[in-house]
Amino acid sequence: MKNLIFLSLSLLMLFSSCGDNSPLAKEETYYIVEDHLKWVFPDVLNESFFMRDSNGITYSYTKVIHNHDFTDSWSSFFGFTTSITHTESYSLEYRNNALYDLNLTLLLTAGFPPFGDYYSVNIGSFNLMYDFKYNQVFNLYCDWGDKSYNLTDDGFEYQQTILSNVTFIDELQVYHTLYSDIMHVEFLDFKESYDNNTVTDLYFAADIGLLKIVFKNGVYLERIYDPSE
Amino acid sequence: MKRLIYLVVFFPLLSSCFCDDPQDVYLPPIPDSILNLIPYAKNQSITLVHSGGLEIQYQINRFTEVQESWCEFCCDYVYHYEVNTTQLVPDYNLPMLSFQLYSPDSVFFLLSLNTGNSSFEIPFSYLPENINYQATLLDTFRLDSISYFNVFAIKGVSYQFNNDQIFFDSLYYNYSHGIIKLLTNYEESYILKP
Repeated sequence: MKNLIFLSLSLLMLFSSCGDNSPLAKEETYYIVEDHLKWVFPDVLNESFFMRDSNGITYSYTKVIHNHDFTDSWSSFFGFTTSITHTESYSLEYRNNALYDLNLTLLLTAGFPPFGDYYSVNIGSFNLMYDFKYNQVFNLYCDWGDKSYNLTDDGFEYQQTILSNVTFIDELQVYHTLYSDIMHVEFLDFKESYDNNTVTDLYFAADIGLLKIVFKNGVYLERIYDPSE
Repeated sequence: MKRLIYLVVFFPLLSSCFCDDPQDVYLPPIPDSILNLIPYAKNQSITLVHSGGLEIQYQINRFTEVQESWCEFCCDYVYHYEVNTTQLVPDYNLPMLSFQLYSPDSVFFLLSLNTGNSSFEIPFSYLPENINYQATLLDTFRLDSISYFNVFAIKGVSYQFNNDQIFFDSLYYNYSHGIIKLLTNYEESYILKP
């Protein structure tokens, strides 16, 4: 009996002292689907691009963050690490030269079953999360409230309706240039609370970046290439 | 002997932990002659016209607060001084224009305009010794058909990541009209509507 207790305690100490390197732990890495990487825009850190609004006022956006990480998470049972997960993600941040409310943050994260990779878009009053596999927005945080779907082992559980959506269109003309493979993000929830300067639509081109921002009052910003035009 | 050594070593350390309360010094209020260097009043409005034609109305908010000088550790004095703030709030999705006026010693005044990622230091008198290298005093500045007199042409300072980023790099200002013209580094302008 004493030997059994001693053996159990020894094993307990051995495995709990292994930490992340527990021999019992299952290790998995989730990678972003290659086709989704076109939404991780390749513009260079600390370089600017320009947008002009419908009244002729020009702004610049500068990429200030471009990170590629693997985030680790652990599961444990009575102090034993049972699984370790490495999740790939890319985070991008763009700063507007004049309006801090128009700073843009994008985060692409690998999905874990049963979910797909998800894209987080944060601008102005909104933070929206979109799942590529289910083709739907599953989280919306904004100045006037939050909406979200629960994540279960069988997918999303719909307890409320999120109206904001993400769609994909073939082409879009923006300031004399025709772009293809467009992501359109549309904010539709809590519309009664929007003011004139609330962002309602965003357009991104794959492998290029932000193309257009539309505000509630109809004013829009469009990407341009030469600010001295 | 050991106690003496400890006393010699630790006494200076211990004594430095005990500071006398700093003396409060209340600087006089900003005189009207200096306040008038910013020719805007609360609830007034002005209009600036963008080079693309858009007219932007700015509503003016102006107020004075008393602030204290920063004291990190064992200061002899803490200065209490007025800071006058004038905010020009646009009716369009643009950054606010904000003037700050204060004096750390009631002799020299600091007058600055801040907007977005740019700031301008505006001289507080016409005296050459009060005009720094970023400002030039123009006898006459002509804009369209209007002549403005005693205008400061001031280069801006920008907090930017690169040389391509847009910022306001020039300000034309006088004490009687305030902002006459703001110019970006890509030559977009905002001009005072007469």
